[in-house]
Amino acid sequence: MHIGVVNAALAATDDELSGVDAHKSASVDRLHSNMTDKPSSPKAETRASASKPARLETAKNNNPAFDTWLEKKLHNMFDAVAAEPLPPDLVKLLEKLDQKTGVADGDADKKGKK
Amino acid sequence: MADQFQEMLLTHMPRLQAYAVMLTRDRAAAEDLLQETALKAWRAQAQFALGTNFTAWIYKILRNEYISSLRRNKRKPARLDEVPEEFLSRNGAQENDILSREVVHAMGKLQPEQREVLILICASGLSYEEAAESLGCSIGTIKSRLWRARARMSALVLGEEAPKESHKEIDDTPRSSKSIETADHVSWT
Repeated sequence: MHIGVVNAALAATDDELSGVDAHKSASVDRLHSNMTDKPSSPKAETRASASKPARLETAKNNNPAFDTWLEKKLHNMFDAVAAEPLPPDLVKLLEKLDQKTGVADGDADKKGKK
Repeated sequence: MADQFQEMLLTHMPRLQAYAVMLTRDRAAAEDLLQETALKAWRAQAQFALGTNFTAWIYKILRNEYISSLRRNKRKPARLDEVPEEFLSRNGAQENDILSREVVHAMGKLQPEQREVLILICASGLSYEEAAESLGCSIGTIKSRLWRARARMSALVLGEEAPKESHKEIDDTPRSSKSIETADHVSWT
């Protein structure tokens, strides 16, 4: 892609992003609420905090729901790129290497037969 | 042996492509890195012992090539605010939403060794053993870095407070394997 087009697209994206701060905030809020197992009532909240092990109280960053979400997100990003076709130059190189491998194997076979 | 090696190399190429893109965040640089990795692996195939872990071996080659390219070219990987939308996916197959971009931006704020572990374990799906072998450190170090990386990501994406550095990270990485930290530390900022 031409660099100018990329820059224009990025500028547009930046504008778009600055314009959708509220949306982002809402998305994060939704994410928060999906990850937080909120008690349904004040009583339940008291029960939940009373029964919560001290280990969990101190490990504030231990957020299994977030970890799962993050892993899925990163995995999806990775898989999307892995699913793309390989660059043509790389395919050509791999074909050349494959041919060389075939020749090397053929030579080895000949030497073995001798 | 050569045929088996070639087959393993081809099978790993799509994953290596994704790893290269996530490491460099630059499509052209990722293509160069892939070619260098394929050539280097092919030339070094005699050093690979069948039955050992090919994934860890080939990931290690790619990573070493990446470090070499950073030093050789003194190239700075793309700045995060310059990363185009298509970095995430060219075919638009995945959800290219605001939170995805947020994740990419947050990853740029991690320490290089934390980001690396996150890419290897969470994105690429390597086991702790494979990641440890490819980075040349212990499984304990991998787990420690991953824990910190997740905590930092949580702080960055959700706006939560980052964890206090209460204990020193277990780091038994050999000196020669730490080069990405120094090579990368300067260039990712």
